[in-house]
Amino acid sequence: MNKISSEARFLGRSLERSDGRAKAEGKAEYLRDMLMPEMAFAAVIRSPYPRAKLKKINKHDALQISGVIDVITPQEVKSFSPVSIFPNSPKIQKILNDTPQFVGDAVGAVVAETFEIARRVADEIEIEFEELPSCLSIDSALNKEVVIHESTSDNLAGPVISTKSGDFESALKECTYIFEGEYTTQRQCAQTIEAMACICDWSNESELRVWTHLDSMFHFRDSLAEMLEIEPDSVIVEPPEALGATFGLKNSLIASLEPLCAILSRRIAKPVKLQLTPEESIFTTVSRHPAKIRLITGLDENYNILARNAEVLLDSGAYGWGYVVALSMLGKWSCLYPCANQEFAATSVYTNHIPGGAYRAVGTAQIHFAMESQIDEICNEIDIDPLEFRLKNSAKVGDELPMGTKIRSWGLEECLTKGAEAFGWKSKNSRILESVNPPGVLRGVGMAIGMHHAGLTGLIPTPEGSKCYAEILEDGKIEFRVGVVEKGQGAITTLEIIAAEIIDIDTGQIKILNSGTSSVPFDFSGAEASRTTYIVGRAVADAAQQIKKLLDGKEGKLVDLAGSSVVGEFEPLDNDPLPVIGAHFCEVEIDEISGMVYVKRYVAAQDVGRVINLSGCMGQIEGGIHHGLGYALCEELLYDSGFPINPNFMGYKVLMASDMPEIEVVLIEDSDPDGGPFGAKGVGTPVMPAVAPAVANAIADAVGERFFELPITPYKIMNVLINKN
Amino acid sequence: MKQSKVLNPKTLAEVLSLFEQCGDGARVIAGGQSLVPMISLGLSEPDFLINLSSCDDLFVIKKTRKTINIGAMASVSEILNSSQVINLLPILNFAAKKVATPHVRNFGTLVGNVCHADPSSDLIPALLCLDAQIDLVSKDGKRSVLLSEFITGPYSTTIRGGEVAVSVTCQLDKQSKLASYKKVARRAGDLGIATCAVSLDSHKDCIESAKISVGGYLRKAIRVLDIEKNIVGLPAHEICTFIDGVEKIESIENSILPDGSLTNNYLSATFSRLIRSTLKDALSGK
Amino acid sequence: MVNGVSHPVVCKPFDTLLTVLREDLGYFGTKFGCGIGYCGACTVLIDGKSAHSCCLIATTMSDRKISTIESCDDDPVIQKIQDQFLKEGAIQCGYCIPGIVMTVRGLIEESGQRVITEEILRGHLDGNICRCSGYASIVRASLKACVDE
Ligand SMILES: Cc1cc2nc3c(=O)[nH]c(=O)nc-3n(C[C@H](O)[C@H](O)[C@H](O)COP(=O)(O)OP(=O)(O)OC[C@H]3O[C@@H](n4cnc5c(N)ncnc54)[C@H](O)[C@@H]3O)c2cc1C
Ligand code: FES
Ligand code: FES
Repeated sequence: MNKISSEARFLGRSLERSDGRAKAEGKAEYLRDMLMPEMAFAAVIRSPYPRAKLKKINKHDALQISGVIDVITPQEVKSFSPVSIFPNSPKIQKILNDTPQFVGDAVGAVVAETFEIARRVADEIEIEFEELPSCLSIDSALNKEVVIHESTSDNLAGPVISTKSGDFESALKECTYIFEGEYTTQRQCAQTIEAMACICDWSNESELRVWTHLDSMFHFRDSLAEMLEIEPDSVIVEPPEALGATFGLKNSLIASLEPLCAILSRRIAKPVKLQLTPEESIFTTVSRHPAKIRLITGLDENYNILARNAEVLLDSGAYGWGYVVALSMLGKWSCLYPCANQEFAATSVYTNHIPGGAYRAVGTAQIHFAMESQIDEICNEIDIDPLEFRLKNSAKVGDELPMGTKIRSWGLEECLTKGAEAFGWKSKNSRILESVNPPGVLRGVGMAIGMHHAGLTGLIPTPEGSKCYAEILEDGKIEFRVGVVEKGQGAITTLEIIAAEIIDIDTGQIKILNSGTSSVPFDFSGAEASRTTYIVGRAVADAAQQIKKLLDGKEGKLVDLAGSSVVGEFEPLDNDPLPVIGAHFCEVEIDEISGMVYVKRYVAAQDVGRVINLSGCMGQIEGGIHHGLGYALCEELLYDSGFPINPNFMGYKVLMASDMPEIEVVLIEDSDPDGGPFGAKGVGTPVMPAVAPAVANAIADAVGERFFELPITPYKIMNVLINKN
Repeated sequence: MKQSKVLNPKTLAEVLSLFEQCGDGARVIAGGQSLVPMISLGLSEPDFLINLSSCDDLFVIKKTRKTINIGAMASVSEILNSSQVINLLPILNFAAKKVATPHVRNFGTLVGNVCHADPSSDLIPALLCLDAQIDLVSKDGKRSVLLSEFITGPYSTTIRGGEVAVSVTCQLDKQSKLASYKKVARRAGDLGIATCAVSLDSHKDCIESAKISVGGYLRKAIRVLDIEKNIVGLPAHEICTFIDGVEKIESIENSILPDGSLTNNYLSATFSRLIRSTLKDALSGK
Repeated sequence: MVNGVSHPVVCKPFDTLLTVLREDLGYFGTKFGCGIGYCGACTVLIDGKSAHSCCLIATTMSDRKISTIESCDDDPVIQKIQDQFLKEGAIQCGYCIPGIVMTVRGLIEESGQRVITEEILRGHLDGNICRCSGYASIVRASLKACVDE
């Protein structure tokens, strides 16, 4: 499976994670568990309407209730100007809203001695709204039936994107085969098991300390400072000892969480914990942006792709940033199937729903479902094996990436061939499943490929470089300080291995410290966008190499060097996020009684460049498949007229252990010498995009009809089955 | 704030007298697997909880010559482990296997499941096939009611204030030779969208007697009498063709509760396919 | 009795066992996830049987033997499960792990001499959500721990 080079001491093996035991024993402290002396508890007062005007809020009576310390309303924060959460998105984000824009939008908060009191008073406070007309679909937003934010009279969430290369219209006229389809994707939630929370201590005016769920400390620090109109240096963001995962959900802060909590702490000069309930954590944070994607692909008589067109509409919810999502889509769409004549247009609008946000494979997940479904349809129609078609038509080394750089390393061919071998994929024509369908069951197989980028360069104008401070301690251990967050993904262990491998010492001698913005080097994006191994890893590797040099003259005695320190650095080339690719294969069984889909077998071949920590790598891939299968089959935050109808663990269905297929992971190591350390790429996010289309294609194979809308629920399948009979 | 209290009586007599003292605000708590989440979600706000778990005599599963009597505190796990249920009431054993996960089964009781009257309960359809009755006691005396009459709709029953269910009684002579239970759920461990229990007797390849009940997205779990009566006398191999020929199953159509994407169409098709398949399994001894 | 020690507690009458374990007794290893019986983060053993502690009222549990993840110090079986989880890399964010370890502990207890198949194991794990791992490494690790027993 994976190659372990003979010299490698740790690389490619499984290293026990250093934070594992404390977690397994229940001793690791999560935000939910954190308490501080004198801490008060806050709960948010939320809008019960999709859109409304706050008329009256009876602060006075609420303050009389025993245990209540403070109540705030939009009035108290009106001096803060609205900010933009993402570059290029409009400045609409406020801490509290007197015109709430979705069910769950924050209109106030209660601080009390206990969480129960705060929550109860926030729920029961006397409050009056005037319900306003709302805008609940992309179409009505485009028609400007209602203007959601005063400052964006056209309801557009960021600029409209429109790019082209070559001449799509004329090329299309030359095409022998033209395929056209419209694909729809849903609101998916990260649904972490630990509900989101935040603790702020601003009791000392000159220093605001923050503990929260986050993907990057410095991005948070800077946004928080901007929102609160203070200096970044006066904010110290610290990750808690353990984080109940984020999956990208906390790639930006949430106005009604960190900034609100900070203000509350300042007002009462005590630490405040703002704990969301499991339900709030689902319907008041952010979700994946729903998309409508229209694709046209034209081929000549030899099945070469001549013309491609994509038109995307994105629902950004109340405060999302579909513009950035569309950029991410463009990044993958425009290069996965190179073609001289292509046009891409994307419009993103606001609606009165939960804001869109970041979540594993932003934009990539949506566009791949559309793109890879259509490729499968093409293969079916022209009767070509989808594997062959992809080998022939998809991107290769040397092809241009949208940011202008070229693909240097691209293990696609190996992913396809090794994945197909592991799965037992035969060419589509000769493909016969081992046994015949048992009665009442429809079986099918499908495949898809998926690419993502490790790192954000060129996608978003943010600083992408990374630094690492390394110091040899008294006891001969080496401490590496990095600005990356350990949210469960295994960053720390990966960095330990990189350093240990380079210096050639035991991993026990390496300490990776990520203790907060005041003690680690600036690193804007932290653990966003699967960039840890690639970019932070390179900074650690640089530091490790410098230490190795220091050691060279000293016959390996670290203690003698105690006190020495070095600074490791890595600045990726401009516009050079690493493309990462995978090929996935799956087999489904559909129960004709109920239309229920059971994924029986799943093979994921991922090019990870180089395996650093084997078990960590497997865990990220298997976990990514879980999110992808949920996206394909059952995960959807449903709304009825603007009201969320399943915002809890009972209604929002993620797959359970018995629902998961047997998974085989094939690790491909097409290493990129200019990529991450030892040629490594990224692994967490790039798994996600191929999953939903692989499943959709298998379902199409089983049912004999294609589904254009995610998730592919039993009801949608049953409708087709009923009509077929 | 209103005062609330958990009471832990040791005998049935104490339960009844506590009910009298506490009045309308009192609720019985058995395993708590339905009631506690309801309280946490604010869907139920009792003043007093009368906890049955200290009443030792409510734990037993008792066999008499003609009946099996399942005490109010017998958990679903205990039912799964009971050799009497395995041997004498296989259909109940099959259904109990499908209830949630061990976490819920270890504490949730069969009687509590019936009193909760969730239309998606796995146990109620099996009990309907057994013509089970629920045994209720109050300070005014005892009564036993057939489940088909006891359960009136989603989460509603004819239990009266001050009444406690002490057991569910299943008739042994109502048990047929062939039985099967099937469930359609959105994911492992979930409550069913559609469930079906079938118990049959056949003689010389002809259906002699048939009981079919369904639960799920219905107003309540019901017996499918209109199918039952039409398949008696049919040769076994004709059953599927017969079901396929039925345009609409009236009894089901009348109680379907569509919900969002679970439309009438989806549910009718699923119920009819599920019944057909469960019948087939029962006939082939699965 | 929690982990062999009895704790007199004064709590609100309808407090769940989960609330009392965490807030009154400081057993923070038992996690709060959904609070309504669907995620398993709060799993403990009651008289050896797995239970969602958010679905039990604390005051009805006063004469029961409750074991939480903190009992691992005195329970070699739990330690064995934890060791396998560590070896297999089954722990990512770790929030679900104490609950899952307790579920597997309950399964081993319940099974006695019977063989634990993958199907049985997965059936037991269906009361526990893990959002990080896709369950694959958890199943591998648990099966190894069960075989060893
Ligand atoms: C996550 C989860 C999944 C579930 N999945 C399933 C499933 O797949 N299939 C299924 O069938 N069930 C399922 N259930 C429901 C579970 O089976 C029931 O909660 C359980 O059987 C009810 O029994 P209990 O003892 O817990 O009742 P309790 O929760 O104690 O009580 C339920 C109701 O019945 C009343 N009651 C209880 N006992 C008596 C009595 N003796 N006399 C009068 N009234 C009484 C109570 O006052 C209360 O209103 C699930 C529950 C959960 C939490
Ligand atoms: S917290 Fe108890 S099951 Fe989720
Ligand atoms: S390890 Fe994160 S939820 Fe299981």
